[in-house]
Amino acid sequence: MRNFVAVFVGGMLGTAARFGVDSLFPHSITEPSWNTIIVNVVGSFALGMLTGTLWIRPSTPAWLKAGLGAGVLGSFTTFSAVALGTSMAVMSGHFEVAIIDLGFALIWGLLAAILGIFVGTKFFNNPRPGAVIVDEGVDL
Amino acid sequence: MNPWLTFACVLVAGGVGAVARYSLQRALPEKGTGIPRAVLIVNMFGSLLAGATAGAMVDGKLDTAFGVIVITGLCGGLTTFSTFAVETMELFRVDAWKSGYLNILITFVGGVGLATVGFVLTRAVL
Repeated sequence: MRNFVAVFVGGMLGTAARFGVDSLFPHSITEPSWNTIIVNVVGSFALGMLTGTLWIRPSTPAWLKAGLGAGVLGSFTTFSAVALGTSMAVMSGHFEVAIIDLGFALIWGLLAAILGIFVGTKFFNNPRPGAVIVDEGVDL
Repeated sequence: MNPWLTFACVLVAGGVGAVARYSLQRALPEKGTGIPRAVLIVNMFGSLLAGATAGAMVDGKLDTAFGVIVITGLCGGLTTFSTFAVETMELFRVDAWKSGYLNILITFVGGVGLATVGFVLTRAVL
């Protein structure tokens, strides 16, 4: 129960932060969604770093992982905005916008995640080099 | 709608979306080398719903505030990019290359496709 409350509160906070970034970087359909690119790159780096640090510490409570991972960062980042933005850009004939929205999400977002994992495991603590985090996916 | 009330509804919808995603992640735990199903499902469903809602908003048929609550709040909170990115990178790290590449391909092609289908459908029906 505590985990679900943490995810709900974290989800509200993450959504509020994303809403804030959206308001700071308004854009029309003819421009790339820099707001979405920013939240996804920052959020993927942060989650990658957490999985390499806090997540593998046995003392980290499950509700904190759930609240920060599934809650705050899960809601701060978004996939539907990438899909919708790309789809709208294609349908309105702005293919260069679609390529930037989709391509940057793919390349920068995935690179940010691997960089976050690398920075987390190499520079903060590294109890098991190459630690597998997938089996803890429940708490992500 | 009062902008502060809209904002509050967006936050609550985001929290509800996050809880729905977390519940599915717990119901469908990942096995390690397969495609992460829970995140794929929420991302596909959220893209379809966002597209359908955007299609309904064309020409003001659906109230803008309600559309923002569903698209930015519910769909934004339900879908996630960070977990998709980290899970995909973890697949590559454990040498599950096929699952990793397939996850990227299905997520992007499926998500953009479903958003388009949702948009076209509600626009045609409404």
